[in-house]
Amino acid sequence: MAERTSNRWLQPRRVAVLAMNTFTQLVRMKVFYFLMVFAFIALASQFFDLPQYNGPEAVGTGELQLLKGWCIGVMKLYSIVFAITATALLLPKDVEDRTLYTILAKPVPRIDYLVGKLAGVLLLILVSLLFMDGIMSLLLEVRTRHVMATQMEFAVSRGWSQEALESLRRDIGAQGLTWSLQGGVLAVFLQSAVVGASSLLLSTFSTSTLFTSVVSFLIYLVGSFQADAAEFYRATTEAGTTSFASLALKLLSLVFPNYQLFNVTDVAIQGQAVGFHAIGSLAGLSLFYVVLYTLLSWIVFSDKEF
Amino acid sequence: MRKSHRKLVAVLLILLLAGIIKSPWERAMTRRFMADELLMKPLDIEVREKIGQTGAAVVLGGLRPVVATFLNLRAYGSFEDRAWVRLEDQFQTLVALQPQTTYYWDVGAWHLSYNAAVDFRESETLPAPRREALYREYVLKGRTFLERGIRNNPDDWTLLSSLGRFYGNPDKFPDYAKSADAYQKAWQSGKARRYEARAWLYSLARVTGRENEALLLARKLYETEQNRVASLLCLLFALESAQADAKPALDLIHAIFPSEKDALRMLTTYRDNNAEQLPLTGVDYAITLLASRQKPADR
Repeated sequence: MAERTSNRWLQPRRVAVLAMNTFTQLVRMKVFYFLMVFAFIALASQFFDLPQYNGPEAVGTGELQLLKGWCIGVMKLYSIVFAITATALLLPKDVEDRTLYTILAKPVPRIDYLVGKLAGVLLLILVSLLFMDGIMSLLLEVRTRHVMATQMEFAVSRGWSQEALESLRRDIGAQGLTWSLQGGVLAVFLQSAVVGASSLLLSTFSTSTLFTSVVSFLIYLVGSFQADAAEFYRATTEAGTTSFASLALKLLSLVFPNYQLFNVTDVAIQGQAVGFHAIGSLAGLSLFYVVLYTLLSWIVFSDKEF
Repeated sequence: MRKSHRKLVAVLLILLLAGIIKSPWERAMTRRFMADELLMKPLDIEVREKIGQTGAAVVLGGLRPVVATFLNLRAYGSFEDRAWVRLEDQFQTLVALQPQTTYYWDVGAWHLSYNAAVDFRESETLPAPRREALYREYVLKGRTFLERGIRNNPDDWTLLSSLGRFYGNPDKFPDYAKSADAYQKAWQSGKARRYEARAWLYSLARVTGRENEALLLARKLYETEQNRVASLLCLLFALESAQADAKPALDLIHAIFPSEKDALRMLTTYRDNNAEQLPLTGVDYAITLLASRQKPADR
């Protein structure tokens, strides 16, 4: 009876052990050094004094947008590159180190192995993003307070009314640390989870890390481009062009994820509100993709021989 | 068929089936995100060409603000080089990338209508008629740019206020009615400073035929203590004096200004520094009258 229980699929403890093992494996590859680079860039940006933000046209919030743009941009770059390369590397590396044979020789269901590996990668991305988010939030808060103090002092000296001061306070506050910005960071994580899962699916077909990485990047680009292309062809189809391109695009949009939906980070950087509903929808869609790609990976991997 | 091929076909079929389920879901999300302005419109081909292949790829990857930041730095270089055509082009691209960032609209319009226009007018290498033509062209370009910004951000009071300033500048082919209209909208947004209400009055007072409307507004603004700045007091005096049944000047002065001494100081400054070309009815007479009533020690 006990033996039957231990062979159950997706046993949380087993998946957690595999995930932690993957996490440790990746940490040993010294990926966290990147976080030092991030911290350095973020800190250095505090000392940039760009002239156009200090001129008579200054609105005081440009520098806050600049800081957020840099930080979220680096977070996105890091998480996408890492999700692709780390996931593409996992299976070939386990084969090369012969760890895979040791694991699969034990009563470990292959789905547990795949889920554990993916969870390990995602855990590392999550920890890294939390670290980067922490640094960004800290610096942004310091900078926002500075901008707020400077702008309010100026406004008071010019005799602005109470309502105008409130409006200024709101405008600067919207560019500071907000839940929308945190939602933007969460969207970065969700996107990297989908990218990682698609990379995992590819790596079950291929044994070459390079092939998996390159094709995963291509899928990422196609996924980012397909919504634009669909819109373009919708317009041209209405104008009477051939339907072949439309058909090809429909097929494309069926197979690839629409990564543009995750670009809500852009508006979060601009200080606009990103509601919980939007983030919830993205989380639901990401879960759908991660489950789908993991199940497909398992179909391919279930009786693969090494 | 080999087993691995069969699996590949199965995976593709499942992907297609899943695609049929997720496509309407994604389309609905895209529509909702677009309606909520959480997603930006796709870039057109022209903008993609301007930002280059790498920039376009970065933009597609969801990093528009980062590309815009770099482009803004380049635009600042163009400003320093006084390369106005290049600067205009860069700001057109910037606002295509970030149409909701009002800062780019405001600064772009300011560069065109003020910096570029004045630089052309003061150019020593161009013949006089060409200088004037370019001055006019760039003033209007800046204004058109700003109006586009307002169409993209109709709720933003700062852009409306800038438009009011552009139209209300006597050096820049003014249209005081449009200036008043822009300031009025800015003030009525409920977010603007009290200055926008006063600026609305200053523009309205310069529209021929709308002096009575301006007087009513001036009286209303005067009721609020914080609005009683020198320009508003003097303008209220000028508007009241222009009425057919105006009260005697001294009565008006006592009703509007804190003291005769302040009235003399404020009205003199108002008349001498009237670059804005505000109404001056009764001001000269009031200054002469007040000067004659000053005690010798006060003169």
